[in-house]
Order: sequence, then structure tokens, then C-alpha cells
Amino acid sequence: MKRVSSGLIISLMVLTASVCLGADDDPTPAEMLTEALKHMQAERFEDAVIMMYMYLGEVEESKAPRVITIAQDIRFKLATILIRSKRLDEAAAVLDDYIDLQMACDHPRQARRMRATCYFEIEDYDSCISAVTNALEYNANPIVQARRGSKSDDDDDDVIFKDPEPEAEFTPEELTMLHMMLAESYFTILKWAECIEPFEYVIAHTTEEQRKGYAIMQVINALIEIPDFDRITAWIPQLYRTTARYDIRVNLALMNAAAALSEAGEYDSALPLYRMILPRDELVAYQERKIRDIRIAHGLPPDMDEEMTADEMLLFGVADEREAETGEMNAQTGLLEEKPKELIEQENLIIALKELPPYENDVNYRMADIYKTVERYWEGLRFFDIVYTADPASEIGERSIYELVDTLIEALNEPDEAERRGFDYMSKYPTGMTPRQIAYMINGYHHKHEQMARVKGIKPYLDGLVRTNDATILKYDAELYFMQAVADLMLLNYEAAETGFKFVLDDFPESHQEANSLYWYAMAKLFLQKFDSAYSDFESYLKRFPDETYVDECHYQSGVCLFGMEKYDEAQERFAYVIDTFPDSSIYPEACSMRGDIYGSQGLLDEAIADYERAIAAAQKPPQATYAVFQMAEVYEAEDKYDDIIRAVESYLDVWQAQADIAKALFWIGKTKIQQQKFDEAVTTYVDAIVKYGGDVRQDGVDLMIAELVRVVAVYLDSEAENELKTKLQTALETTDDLTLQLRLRVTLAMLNRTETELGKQLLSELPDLENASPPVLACICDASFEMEDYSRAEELLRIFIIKFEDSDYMRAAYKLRGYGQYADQDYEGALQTIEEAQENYGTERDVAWAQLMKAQILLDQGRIAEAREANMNILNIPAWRGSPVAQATFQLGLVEEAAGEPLKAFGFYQRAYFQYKGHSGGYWAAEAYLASARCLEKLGLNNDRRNTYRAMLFDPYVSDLPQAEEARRVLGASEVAEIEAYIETGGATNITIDVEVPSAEEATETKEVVS
Amino acid sequence: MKKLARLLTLVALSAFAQEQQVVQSGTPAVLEAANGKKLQVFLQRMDGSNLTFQPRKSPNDMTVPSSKISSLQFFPKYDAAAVEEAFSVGDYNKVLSVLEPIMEPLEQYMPIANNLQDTFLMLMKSRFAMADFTKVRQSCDLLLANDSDPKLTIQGTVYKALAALAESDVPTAQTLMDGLESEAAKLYLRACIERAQQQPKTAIQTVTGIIAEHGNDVDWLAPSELLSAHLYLDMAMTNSALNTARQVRNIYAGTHISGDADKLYRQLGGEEAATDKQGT
Repeated sequence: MKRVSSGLIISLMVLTASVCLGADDDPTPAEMLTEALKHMQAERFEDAVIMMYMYLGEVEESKAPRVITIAQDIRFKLATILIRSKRLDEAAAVLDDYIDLQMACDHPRQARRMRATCYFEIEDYDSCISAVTNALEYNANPIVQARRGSKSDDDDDDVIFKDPEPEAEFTPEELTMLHMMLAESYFTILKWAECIEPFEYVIAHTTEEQRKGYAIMQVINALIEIPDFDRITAWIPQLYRTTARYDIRVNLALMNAAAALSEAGEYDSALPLYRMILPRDELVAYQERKIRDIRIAHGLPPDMDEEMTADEMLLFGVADEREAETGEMNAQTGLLEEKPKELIEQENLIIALKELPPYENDVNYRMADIYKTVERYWEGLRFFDIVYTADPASEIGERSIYELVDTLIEALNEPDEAERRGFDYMSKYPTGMTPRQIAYMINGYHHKHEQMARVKGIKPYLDGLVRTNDATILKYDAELYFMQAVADLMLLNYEAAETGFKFVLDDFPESHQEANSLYWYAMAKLFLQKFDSAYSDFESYLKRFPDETYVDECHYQSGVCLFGMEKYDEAQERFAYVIDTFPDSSIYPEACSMRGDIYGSQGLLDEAIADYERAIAAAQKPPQATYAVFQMAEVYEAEDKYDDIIRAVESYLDVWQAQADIAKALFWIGKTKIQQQKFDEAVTTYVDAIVKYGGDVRQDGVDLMIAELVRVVAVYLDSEAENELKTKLQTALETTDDLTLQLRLRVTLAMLNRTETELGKQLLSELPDLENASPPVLACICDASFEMEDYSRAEELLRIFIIKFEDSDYMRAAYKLRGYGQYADQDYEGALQTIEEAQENYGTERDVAWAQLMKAQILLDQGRIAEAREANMNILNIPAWRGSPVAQATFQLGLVEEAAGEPLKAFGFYQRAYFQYKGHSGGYWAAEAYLASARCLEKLGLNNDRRNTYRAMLFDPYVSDLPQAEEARRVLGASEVAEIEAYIETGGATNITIDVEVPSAEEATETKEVVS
Repeated sequence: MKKLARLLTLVALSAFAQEQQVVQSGTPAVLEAANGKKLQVFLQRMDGSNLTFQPRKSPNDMTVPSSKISSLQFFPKYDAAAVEEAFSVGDYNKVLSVLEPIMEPLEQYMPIANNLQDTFLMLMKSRFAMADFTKVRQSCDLLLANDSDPKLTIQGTVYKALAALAESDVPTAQTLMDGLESEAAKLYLRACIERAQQQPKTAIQTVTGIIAEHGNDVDWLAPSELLSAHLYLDMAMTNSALNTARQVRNIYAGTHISGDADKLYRQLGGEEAATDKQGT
């Protein structure tokens, strides 16, 4: 508001009064004065003001001390009335005149204080600052006033004014209020530095807790603006200890201040400010109590719009002196504008507070954010949870659950709890971005920690999310499903991976993961050995995405597919293309190795060696060199080039040092020493390496050494050396605490002592899990399980091999156990699948003959006669399977013919079985064949021949003691059996003459297996 | 005039003679009775719940039940501001060196409301900080006998339990915790017990409960936050411990909790970190 000149007002007032009174009736100054005082006494303040202005207009020019004294007194009274009438600008102007005159000024301090208040109230802050400063200076150093004046207007003689009564200095309360006005004025006109000192004065001197708190708050606000954060930190504890925290303004200011501090990274200062902010309901309740107190103090009904009851009047009293003094309340009408100022202010504040949207969640979220930022994660977690629980569906609730899960995963490494909270959220709120972001976070954590099974745990919740066409959400979904398929791939669930990548390709066409999905879709097929289909997809990738990441890989994998399709020439060409086109590619060494393998299979050993050397030279990762080096060693071994093996292996060790597969290298070095007849050195190399590297379950070279060591002992060592070796191993076993090494040493000793099965049984009950079991240990357990016909862990054992020891030779034991288990459960398709995998891995090696025999039996069980016949016939043609497998296959051929309704043909196979193969499998298949022959002869009605067959069985020393012979004894009867036995005792023999094949040592083991 | 002077001298000598006749020992204090009357006394001893004293200028012992006494006012001579300053920076040795001799004759009267209760709390906390658990227990028992202020009972219970925990006596701590009426104090003690049982993760979740639900509890918020710093350290989350200690130091500046937090902060290399930050 603009300042008003008191001269102008006086002129206007005089004019107005002249009009009112009439020009003819001009009153004298004395009359005006009298009139003014009368009005004043009668509380007709408006009229009093007019008369006072008129009087002052009349005497303005007078120099007479008495007149001046009276005029000054009138000015002071006029200012008081104007203030009471809220005509503050006028009051300020009058007080200016009063003070400026410097004569007859009886109330210099109070006038200055009132002037300052007026300027403050009319928001003229610059003037207020001058006025307060002036008041404070005057209070400290009162000006010696001019004491001279004129006796009258006409008299020029100077007279001395009468000394007024000395005015009291400002009270402490008045000084505090002046400083408060000064501080607030500076603050309002943004003079931050200047406002601090007066606020500090208020803080130091006020007796009101709330005012003190408010002043501290304003200091903090000013310091934020300066900015001076260190000083803020010092002020906060003081604010914390005042009741100002219940002041609405302070709470609003706290929020602003805390936000500013937080943005400036001043978390230590921001945090306590946020903490001090009281919940809205609590503030409202506190302020309503306060309003009630104010109303009661002013004689108003305690609650708005209510009249005070008689009891309340008695209890709280009625309007007090303050009300009568201020006259701000009209007791008759009760109009709102008549309320006390502090009450109106308070009510306005509470209205504003109620209109504020709830801020508690925002405050709690900000606190949580600060806690998280300063790494007080558990506190952050709690506050995010509070916000989320309060309003889970809101935007801030969503942000909170996201931060909560993020904190649990990233900062606290609590994935279980993160999943619990995240999945709970995803199932309850399946729409929008947040559940996807949470899934993405959990997914990322598990991928990072290679916990693919747990990645799959996300899938049900992912499937439950509501799909939309929103581009960002679609991108998230594509990514999440893509990662699901990747997890399947890494879990070796290739069928699931194939399905998963197809889902991404079908449901999210042109997604950011389309090219990658296609590549991995093809890879999944490749792993499933669907070479044709995989090849098509790799080729499709090359056409559709010629500039994408996996172009070189696709060419290489296409080559692998061609290799799988046995199109070796085309495969070789493709590998050559990769080698020529992508010399810097990461798959270049693999392409070299693959082409080397093809050359090797073609007998082009020099070319193969050259490619392996290329692979070794270009290898970027240890496995690339490792594969090539040991393939090369195989080639050298075939050529008896043991020096080259040593050279290659040592060079490999030099290059890759600790990253090299040292155990495998030592295996080859030992193997070379064996060839060089240095058995002791080989044994020492192996034992040292087993002890040194045997603690790492993934060192498959150690397992190779164990097998080789057992072979060396069996073939080359005498019993003394063997015992010495066993002692060494036993000592090592007793001195190590490493469970993996202990197990390896125990299995080695068991193999040397031929007690693997016993050890396997022991381990089955001893080991709580198979984490530390290396392949020979697992094989031992498989063998023991097989012997006990306990297939309960067959699937688990095979899976461990597939996941952890895919290339291990010991896996064959797991295939066998699994196959037999599936057969026992009549899971024929599963068994055939296992058989197929076993045969793919081990071909026609002797100890996987069981696979072909079982396959034939399953086909027979399924009524697929021709296929069963063919499967059994195949066995007869495999040289490696001569002996026991052939005996069983021959017997099984009899079963096939029986099932085909050809008992005579069947008899022929059975007869062949007990004629030719009675020496195999402890005579088991021969005994079975005798009984089956008798069964066929009975079907053919050849009863005599049937009985002769039983007799021949009892005469046959290979089978007569077997349990099956009891059937012959039962059919023939006791007397005939006694006759036969008596005849045999006399040295008699059957008239059947046969050639018996002598079983080999290997067969002796098989015999044990079959009989058991 | 000379006569008058002689008379005055005689009166003075007579008064002096009277003073000389009643030579009193004991602890000087002002006793405020339950009925509001105040009396200058020399405290003699506490026997159970009875207080024995001599009124000033009376050689006779009087014994009254402490329930009849509203409060006692003592007049120990020491630099209270210096002790408080030492306490606020965690200089417990200094606190003990000053307060132990002063409070030693006064401790027995602590079951009665008095003007040195806060000082006694300071002494007890300093004893705890210096691991003098026997004395802590004695102090707590005296506080627990004082029913003038629930705050004293709570502090006495908590510190008695903490002393038990410090000596691995979890069951006693548990029993004391169950008897607490302050929810915040109970949670604080529970967190301390959980920490003693090597369950820092559970303990810190209890602490966050105090911070979230009792954020305005001036007695237990600060120690809870300091406990949080220690729990982070237990969980090998050194940065979190460092930051928490720094915040506690800053937020509760001027209190002994701030002093303790400062020690932890420095122990964790906080000052070096601060110096490095400045350097960069």
C-alpha cells in the first residue's frame, strides 16, 4: 500500500468538515479540540478523527510551544484511533509527522513501535525495516530533542518546552516483537542474510515456545536460500525441541525446507525436518484444540457455530477485557469479521490445512528415499513399506513397492523376501508398468546369479499380468518372456526353451528381441538335434537380420547343423566360410576346431592339426583352447606322437596358466609317461594332481586321471606298488577336510579294491546332497542304486550329470540307472528317449549294450514285433557285444517269435541260446531258454521233447544248480529226478554235445549283473 | 552508644554459642514434605523406605517413611556445565571422576524425588559406558525404587536389562523387557536382546519399527538410531553403519548419544572420509 501523506489527509478532512459544518460556522481550533476530545470520550472515533485532522490543519503552522505540545498529543491520540480503526497507512503518516517534529514528543518509543507495526501490517516492508531500525536505535540512544519553541504564534521569543515524563524503555516483549517484525520484513523482501540476526534475537529472547520454533524455522528457510547448510544442521536440533512443530505454518515450511535440503543432497539436515512433520490429522486435532482455547478465551462458544452452554460459561467465563478493549467482537450479532485476529488467522490456517491433499505418504516416501540414498537400507525399507501399505494402488504406492523390491534385491541381498513381496504385488496388481518392472528386477537378479530355476519361478506371475498394446509394456513383456526362454535354455530344458522363444516370436512380432529370439529358437532346436529345422531358422536369421549380432554365429551354427545332418562336405564348406570371413569373430576358434574334427574323421590329420592350432592361437576363452588342445592330443595319440602331446599341452599351460584345465593337461602328461613306460612317474603325477585339484568338483581331468590310474594299476603295477599307492591315497584321505576330494579318494580306493558298489551304498545313506560328488562318485552311487533296484534318484542323478558334467564319461552309469528305472515304471517312451541319448553318446560301446537290449524288449512289450526282431538282430551283428549281450538277444529273439505266434522259430532261438551261450551270464539265459523251449514244445504238442528238454536241463551242469532248474524238477517228478541225479553221480552225462564259449573277464562282471 | 555495641556483641556471641552447641553432620538438604512444608535438614541415612535426618540446629534424629516426603533438594558443589559437556561428548571418565565422589553419599537417597535425578541418570549411563555393570545394577535398583517419575523407572529397567545382556544373561533381560510399559523402550530392549542373540537382521527390523512408529519419542529414538548403526556394522554393512553414525551425530548434537555416535563414526574412518571428500 502506498504511503499516505498526512498533509493531504488533513487538507481533505478540513475540506470535508468545512462542507459539513458550513463555511459560516467555522469553529476555532480550541472548539475543534474540544469537539474531538468529546467524540473520543464518547467513542465516536470517526468523528473524533475528523475533528483531530481539522485541528491539526489549523495549527500546523503554529510555532507556539503550547500549541505544538497539544498538536503532538493530538497526533499521538489520532494515530492510536487510526490504528484501532485499522487505518494503518494514515496512522503511519501521522506518526511520521509526530516523530519527525522532534518536539513535544512524549511517546517517542511507543510512537516508533506503533509506526513500525503499521508499516508491517500494511506490508510496506522497506518502511517497516527503517521504522524498526529507528525504534531500536532510539531505544538504545534516545535523541536529545529540541526543547525550544514560541510562546505564541505572534511571539518570537523562544521558550523552553516543559520536560515530559521520561518514557520507559521497550519491554523485553516489545523488543522481541520489533525484532520479529524486522526479521519477517527482511525475510519477505528476500534479504535472507539480513533476517537471520533479528530472528536469532527472537529465538534467544522470546518466552513463547511456538514463536521460538517459528523463528528457528524461518532461520532455516533463510539459510536454505543463502544457502548455508552447515548452519542449518546446527539449528535443527533446537527446532526439534520446541512445540513449534505443531504450528501449521512450520509444518508447511518444514516440508519445503526439507525438500530443498534433500534436493541439495543435505540429507542429514533434511531427514530430521521430515521427521518433525506431523501427520495432518494430528495437526488438525491439535489446532482445533487450540482454536477452541482461543474461542473460550475470547468468550466465544468453544466450537464454531455453536453457542456457549451455561455450564461452559460457568467453566470458561465470558468475554474478557481483551475483547472489550479491542472491540473486535460484536456480542449481539456475533459476526465473523468481529472475531479476534489470531482466531481468524488460526481458522484460515486450519482451513488451508484441511484443503491440503494428504501429505503423509509423500513425507514418508521422501524419508524412505533419503534413508536409501544414505545406505540406511533397512530404514528405507520400512518407510517404503509404510507408504505402499497405506496406498498400494496409487502412483506413490507403486513407486514404493518398486523401491522396496529394489532395496531387498540390490542392497540387502534378500531375494527370497523380494520375491515374496514382488510376487504378492504382481498377483494383486497385474496391470501397468510396475509389476513388469518388478518382474524385470527379480529376473535380472536371478540371471546375474545364474539361478535359472528361480527365473522360472516368475513365469506364473508373468502369465497372470494383464496384457496391453502399450508399446513400453509390450517391450517389457517381450523381454521378460525372452528371458524366461533363456532360463529354460540354460537349464537345458530345450523343449521348453524352444516353446518359449517361439512364444516371443509369435506373440511379440517385431519386438526388440525378435532377432535374438530367432537365433536362440534355432539354438534350442540345435540342442534338441532338430538339425533340419534349426538350420532353416539360422538361414532365416541370416536373410532377415543380416546386420544383427549373431550373423557370424548363425553361419557357424548352420555348419554345426549340417554336420549333425551328416552333410560333412557342406559343413566343412560352411566352417571354411566362417574361418575365411570372420577371422576376428568369437566363434572363429570353434569353427577351426569343428573343421579340424572333420579333417580328423577323414584321416587328414595334418590338416586337422593345422586347424586345431589355428583355434588355439585365436582362442579368446580358455574352453576354446582347451577343446582344440585335447582334440589335438587325441590325434597325436593316434599317431603315437607323445612328444607332440607334451609340447602342445605345455604350451597350452604356458599361455592360459591358472585358467587352463591343468588337471586335464596333467592327465595327458601322465598318459604320455605311461606310453613311455614311466609308470611310477605317471602314478606320482596322477596322485599329486588328484590330491591338488581333486577338491574342485568340476575338474573333470581329475576324474579322467582316476580312471587311468585304476587302469595302470590293474595292468602295470605289482602288488607292492599297488599297496604303496593305496597307502598314499589313504594318507591323503585322512589328511584332507575337503569333502569333494575325500569322496574322490574314497572312490579311487574303492575302484582299486573293487568295492565300488559297497561304497555307493554307503554314500547313498551318508550324503545329504550330491553337491560335492564328482562323476566317479556319482557313478558309484548309480551302480549301487542299480544293484539295489532303487531307481528313486535316477532322474536326479542323470540331471546332475547333464547339467554339471555333460562331457563326463561316467555319465553312462546314470543313463543305465535312469533307463532301467523308466522301464520298471513302464515309462516306455521315456526309456526309449534315454536309450537314444545313451546310444548317441556312447554308440556301440560294450557297456551300453543294455540300451539296445532294453530297446528291443520295449518294442516287444509294445507289440512292435518286426522292430523288436530287428533291434535284437542288430545286437548279433555288433562285434563289441559278443557274449552275454548276444546270449540275451538270442533269448529275446525267441520271445519275439513266440509273440509272433511262431513257437517253432522261437524254439530254434531258445535252443541256440542254451546250446551256444550257456557259459555267459552264469548260465542265466541258457536256463531261461530251457524253460522257454519246454514251453514252446508244449505248445507244439511235443510232450516227450518237452520232458527231454527238462531232463537235458538237469543234466546240464551250467544250469542244473540255478533256481530255474526247480521248474524242471517239478515237472519231471521226484523219482525221475532222483534217477537222473544218481546217474550223474555215477559219472553219466547227457547225450547232448555242445560247444561252450569261455566268458571273458568283462563277461564275468556282466554275469554277476544278470544273475543278481 | 558503647552500651548498645556491647549488647549487640553479646547477642552475637550468644548466637555463636548456640551454633557451637549443635554441631551437625550428615548431608545438607532441603526436605519438602508431602504437605508442602520445607525444612532444612542434615540427612543421616536411608533404612529401607525410611529416611532418617536431623532438622537444622537439632541434634535429634528423626525418621519418617519416604512416602511422606515430596522431594529433596541437594546442594553439591561442582561444575555442572562442564560435566554435562563431558557427558555430551562421551567423556565418561571425566563424568565419573567428578560425579562419583559427589554422588556417593547421595545415592542412597535417590529413591526419593530430588533435584539430582538427571545427574544420577548421567552417572548411571556413564557407568554403563565404562562397563561397571555392578554399579549400574545398583543404580538401576535405586531408580526403580523411585516412583516419582515413570521415566526413571523405564530408564532403570532398560539399563538393568542392558547390564544383564552385557553379561550374557538374556533371560533376565527378557523378563525386565516384559515388564516395561513404554512401547518404544520395550522395542529398543527387544532389539538389544536380538542383537545379543546374534540376530542383527531381526534386530534392525525391530529398530526400524521404533523409528517409524515412535519417531517422536525423544528418549528412545536416539539410542535406537545409534543401535541401528551398530547393527549395520554387525552385518558388515560398513558404509551404512558409517552414514547412520554420522546422521545420529548430527541430528542429536549436544547429547551423549551424539558423542557416542561420533566415536563410532571416527572409529569407522568417518573423519578420513570427510577429509577425503573435502580434498576432492
